[in-house]
This record gives sequence, C-alpha cells and structure tokens, in this order.
Amino acid sequence: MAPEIEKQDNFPFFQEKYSRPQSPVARQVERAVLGDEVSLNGYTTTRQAEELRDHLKLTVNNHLLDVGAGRGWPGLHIAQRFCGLVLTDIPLAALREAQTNIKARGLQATTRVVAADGRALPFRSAYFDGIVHADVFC
Amino acid sequence: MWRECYRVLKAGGRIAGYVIHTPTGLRASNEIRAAELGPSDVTSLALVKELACSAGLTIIAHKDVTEIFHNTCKAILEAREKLEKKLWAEEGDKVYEEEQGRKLSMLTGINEGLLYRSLIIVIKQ
Repeated sequence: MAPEIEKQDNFPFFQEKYSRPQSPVARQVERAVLGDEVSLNGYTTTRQAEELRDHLKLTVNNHLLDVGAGRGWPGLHIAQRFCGLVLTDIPLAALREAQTNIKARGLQATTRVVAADGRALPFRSAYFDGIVHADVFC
Repeated sequence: MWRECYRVLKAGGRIAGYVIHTPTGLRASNEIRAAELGPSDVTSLALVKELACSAGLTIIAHKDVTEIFHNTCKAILEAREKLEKKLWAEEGDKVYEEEQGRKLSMLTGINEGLLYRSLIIVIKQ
C-alpha cells in the first residue's frame, strides 16, 4: 500500500498569490489563451466554461454556486445575467477582485460574494440548483 | 467538501467541474512526484469519484480533457515567455519565475503521465 502523502493546506499559497494584483499583461495572456480575461489561476477555457454551463441545465431564476471561485471564474461566465450566482472562496483578496469583476460585467444585481470554506458552507440545505467548480476537488 | 455540496444542492441539481488528478494505480514514488509537480493534494480519479459517491452523489458523466489541459498549459507558458520582459516589469522577476516554474512543473507532470484533468458531472438524485 502506498504511504500516506501528507496533505498540505493550500490556503497560504492562494492567500499570497491573490494578494498580488494581476498585471495587465497577465490578463492579456489570459485573453489570448483562454478567450477571456478571467483573473484566474487555472486552466479552464471559455469553451470549457460553456460546457460546464451546458451540463448544469440551469434555467432562469435558478441559483448557481461557484465553489473555490477565486476571482470569479468560471461562475461569472456561466451565470452572466442568466441566473443568480454566489461566488465563494477563502482568500479575501481574491473575493475583493471578484467584486471588481462583478461590477465590470454589470452583474451586481444577481451575484453575491461570500467568504467561506467549501467544507462548511454557510447556506441552507437544498438551496442551489447547481454547483460549479474548477480544479478545487483535486 | 462533496458532502457540503450535496447538502446545499437541491434534489435533481448537478455539480459540474474540472478536476486535476493522477491516473489509477500509481506507485507511491510517482504519487509523491505528482504532488510535487501539480496540486499538492492531487489524488486519483478513483478516489475523487469514491468521495463524490460516498457523499450521496451519482456520477452521470466523465470526460478526459487532459489533451486540452496540456495544450492550455503549454500555451500559457509560451505566451508568458513571449511577454517575459513586460511581465518582469509588471510582476517582478521573482513572481515571474515562480509562476513560470509552477506552470512548467504542471506541464512536466502532464508529459510524464502523472497529471490528468477530467470533466466530472454528478447529480443529487
């Protein structure tokens, strides 16, 4: 049997990473490679975000949760003005940038940002119609 | 985390996401290498599926997207290399090198067959 691999808490890494504002040139890289300026730390293209949306089968007035949302990707792309969205993650710096991205996309009316650990979500049971995540359950 | 997602999801609701994982049946030394090259808590797809199912969710679709993962990672690395001077100026050389190092490690893990990425769709029935 394989020895246990010590699991590290990745929070300090992401806290430090998100505390650095993303450079305009880095955003330029994202647009060229992923199809949008997504302010992310991952590998999900816009086409892949749309594939997630297709699988979720959401309808208007549904509520979507993006767990480990970081700066708001891919939740902001999936929800757009289509349904209500809650972005949740732990690093506050990421969530502050998510709020900036929400304003930039004009989604203030339909999107909330909640600082929370995915292992203890502060929402009532059976509230969300769909949940999306990208490279969080790894 | 799967249990919490199950709790807050309505019956009939779906969870859709991408997961970076290792292939099944890796030797211990390769598991360690995978965790060094990719996410430190990377695990096998079998375990990811097991955890989702044990939380009460049913897997309804799975697709290997490792090829796209590889191409995206490579494209990000190459785009950043092309814009190295500008990124140095904006991010600083230390941050630039760290970020490049992380992306290169991920690409190495993919090329060595240690890191995969999959689309997984589950439903709360």
